[in-house]
Amino acid sequence: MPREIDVLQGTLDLLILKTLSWGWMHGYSVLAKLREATGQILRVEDAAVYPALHRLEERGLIESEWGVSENNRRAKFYRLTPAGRKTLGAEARSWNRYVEMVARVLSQSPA
Amino acid sequence: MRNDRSTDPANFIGPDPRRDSDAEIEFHLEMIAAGHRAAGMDPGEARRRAEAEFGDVAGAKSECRTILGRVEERRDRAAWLTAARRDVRYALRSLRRTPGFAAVMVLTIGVALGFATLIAGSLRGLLLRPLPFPNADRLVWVFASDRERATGMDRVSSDEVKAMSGEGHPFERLAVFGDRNLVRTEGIQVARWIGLRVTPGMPGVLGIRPALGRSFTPEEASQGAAVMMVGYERWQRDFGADSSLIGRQLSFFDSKSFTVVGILPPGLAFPLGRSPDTGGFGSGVQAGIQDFWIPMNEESGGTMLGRLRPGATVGQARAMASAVSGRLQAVRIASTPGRILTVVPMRDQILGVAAPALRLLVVAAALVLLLALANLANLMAARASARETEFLVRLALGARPGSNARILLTETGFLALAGAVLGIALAQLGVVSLARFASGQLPLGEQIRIDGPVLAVALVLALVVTAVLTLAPLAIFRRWTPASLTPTTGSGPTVRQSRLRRALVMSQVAAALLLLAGEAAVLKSLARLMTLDLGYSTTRVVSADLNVYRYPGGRAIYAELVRRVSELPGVEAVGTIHSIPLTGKWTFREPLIEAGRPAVDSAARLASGNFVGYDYFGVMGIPVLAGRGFIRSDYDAPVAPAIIINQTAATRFFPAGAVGAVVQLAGAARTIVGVVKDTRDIRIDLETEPQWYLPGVFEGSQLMVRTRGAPAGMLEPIRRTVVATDPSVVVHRIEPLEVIASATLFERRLAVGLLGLVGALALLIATVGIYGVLSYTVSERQRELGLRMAIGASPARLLALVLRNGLATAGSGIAIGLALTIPLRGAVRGMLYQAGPAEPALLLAVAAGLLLVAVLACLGPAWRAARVDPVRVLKGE
Repeated sequence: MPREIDVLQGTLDLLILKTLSWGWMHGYSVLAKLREATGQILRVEDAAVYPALHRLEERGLIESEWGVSENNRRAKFYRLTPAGRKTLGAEARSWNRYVEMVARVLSQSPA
Repeated sequence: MRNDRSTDPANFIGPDPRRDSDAEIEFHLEMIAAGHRAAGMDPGEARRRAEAEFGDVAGAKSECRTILGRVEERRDRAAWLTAARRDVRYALRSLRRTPGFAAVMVLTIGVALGFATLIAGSLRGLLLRPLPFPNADRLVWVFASDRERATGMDRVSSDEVKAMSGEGHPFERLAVFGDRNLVRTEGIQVARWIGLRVTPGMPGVLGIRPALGRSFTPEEASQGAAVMMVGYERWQRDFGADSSLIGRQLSFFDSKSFTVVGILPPGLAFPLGRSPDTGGFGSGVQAGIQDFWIPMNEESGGTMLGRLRPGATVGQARAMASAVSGRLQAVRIASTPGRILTVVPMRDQILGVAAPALRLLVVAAALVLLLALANLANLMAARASARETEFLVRLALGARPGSNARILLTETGFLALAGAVLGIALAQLGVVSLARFASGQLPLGEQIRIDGPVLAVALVLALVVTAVLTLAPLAIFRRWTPASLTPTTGSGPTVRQSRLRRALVMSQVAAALLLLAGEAAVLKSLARLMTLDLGYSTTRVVSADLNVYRYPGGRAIYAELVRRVSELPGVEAVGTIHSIPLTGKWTFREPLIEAGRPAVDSAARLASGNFVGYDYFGVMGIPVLAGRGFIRSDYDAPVAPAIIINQTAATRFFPAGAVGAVVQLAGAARTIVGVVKDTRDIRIDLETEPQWYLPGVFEGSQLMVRTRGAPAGMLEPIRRTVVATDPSVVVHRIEPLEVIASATLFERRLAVGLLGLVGALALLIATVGIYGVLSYTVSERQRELGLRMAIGASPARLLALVLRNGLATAGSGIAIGLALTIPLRGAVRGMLYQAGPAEPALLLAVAAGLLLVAVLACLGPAWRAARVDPVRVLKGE
């Protein structure tokens, strides 16, 4: 198993937004989807997800509603708001540029 | 989607939304634990593993709760704002539906608050702001005054100075000063320096220190040393604040020169207000910033200023002053009978006549505010009564009990706010007009302004108004429950309540009548004074207050001045006089005693005198009744052999005929050559005294010019001519005599203006009061009126019924007011001039006017009564 990498400060929000862009989802499945997508390499702590979700809701980027989970329990579901969708697009673009720049610098050989 | 919490009823009783996150995290833990259980773990162990994998459970829960709490709080605030906005919209809508009511309320609040604010501003400016001297409440003037004359603020003489200084028990320090002008000539520049001669104690009395250098020593004062303290502003302006001015010698006209020893502190404007040396009210001479002080000794007498010891009272100082006057009276020759020393606190003296008026105004302001509040409460109650159904329906539909109160509060809050804004604007307007009206007349008048603390007073008053106006209708609403929404709604006020309201309106009407009657009387006496025959004409006369600083050569300069000014186009005649009439400086007093007779009754034969020259009587239009006017030879004699007296002096002292009689006056025998008509020279409202005129032109004589047309256009040509005649002539002031005359009536004008203002306010309040009470009555008696109409009363009868009702109240108020005019006449007597004992015509006119206004105020409610629909009312709709 490859070594786990800690999620960078600030990128958790971006990852949650991306995950929620696929539709209504409760906290547990957000985490499950994240782990699935990263092949368990990124380490996301369960305890960090909920404050992040509430903060995003406070900022109006996601909205929530109580519903019934797949195993018939009361669970709180989240999804992106239009504002959240816009923010996700912008954040994703800037993240990609950032990564590209870092990669370009790292790939340069001495002249 | 989720619903808005603020409108979802379920949320009002649901669990605390802050606990949402706990449930959410529990669900998460349960999901993990379920996975472990499925893998065969026992439930307890599965739960523990889940918590361990989750991380900091408690921390996450508390963090989530904090965030949710924050969100919740914000949502509550938004909900409150929405509710407030709804209330505001409701209040505005209901106010818009009754624009008349809203206008009357705002106007009444505005006027009452504005008046109170103006008074608060005046009080703060005049009474509460400190004088610019340390412990100024201990500063007192000591004036000499003559019981027989109304002027009453004379300089003290040297023996009085000595007597007062000798026993300084209540006084920490005393000083004497006199005014002094110097003319500084530097190159072709001529500047008039205004300053004071002061005894060395002066800085100590005022509590000031030189800005630079030192003040005078007692030796300098007693030796009359030529030393000077230069005014700070003068030092800044003319000498560039050069500290080397100390020790330098400054030369002035007439080869006077002084060595500068110190610089006075900045902003030393003194004396403040009126004093014998700066002229009285109306003279227009205001003390400004001092250019210099020079020392004097106490021998010459002057204006006395004292600083009381800490703890000493004005009463003690007065007692001492009167003891001193008594002792002096005993040893003095009887030339000045009735002369006494009076002690006047500086603040009182500066405020002069304004102080009692201000005190009166405070009472008036409180009264106006109180009467206005009572009215407003009445109006609010009347309106609440009319809106009974509306509010009951709201209650019945499930509005929370507080919501009616909230709506009322919002409504009155709006009214009070609009009223306060209007009031502050009115007060500001009042300040501006007061400043224009009192410009140069009311000392410290420029200190009246609406500033922070005054605004705070206005806002507090607005809050009080809001509170009272909200509580008045609430007192009525308290009786109600939704169950009272029945056809019998509106049981009406108790008899006691309506009697109280009626009594209130009666007293408003009575107060308005009293104030308006007072105003009418004061106005009438002002008119009487303004049209009074002064014995001379004030129109088309210009006075030029000037100084010729070249005596004895001055006589030639005056001759040249008179000649040149006479030649100006538009000038009819030119004369000179030592003291311009009505400037309060008619200072010479000598007894008219026939030569060769013993001077036993000299006190009874005292007369005021003046020195006149050229065509003075012609300029003033004073007719010579007997004998002749002055002629050339009268002036040319080294000691004037001729004297002219006025009619009063002639009939009082020379019943056998004055012309030809010889009097011993001011050290010489003089023949009475003429008798002129009586004139009022000292004050317009002072009866004419015996007067004498001597021919004489000397330093300090003023020019009097009669113009052909309006005097305003002649001021500048005269000034230019005078200045061009000789550079040593300094012109202080050129103004039409009308202006001076009108200024002497300032106090009366102030009284007329203020009483008029308060009277108008009282009238407004009484009108609104009558209207309000009748409106209330009509809306409360709707059922009764409807019933009357149903059993055959005509609309005209109902109209008459209400009209009679209102006029009965107003009429009783008028009657009470009329009755009260008799005992209260004394209050305005001081401001009246030759007013008849009761002036019934005036009172009747005021009463009739009030009655007319009352009828107008009754018409609205009466009209409404006549239009009551009996069917609707009886059905209980």
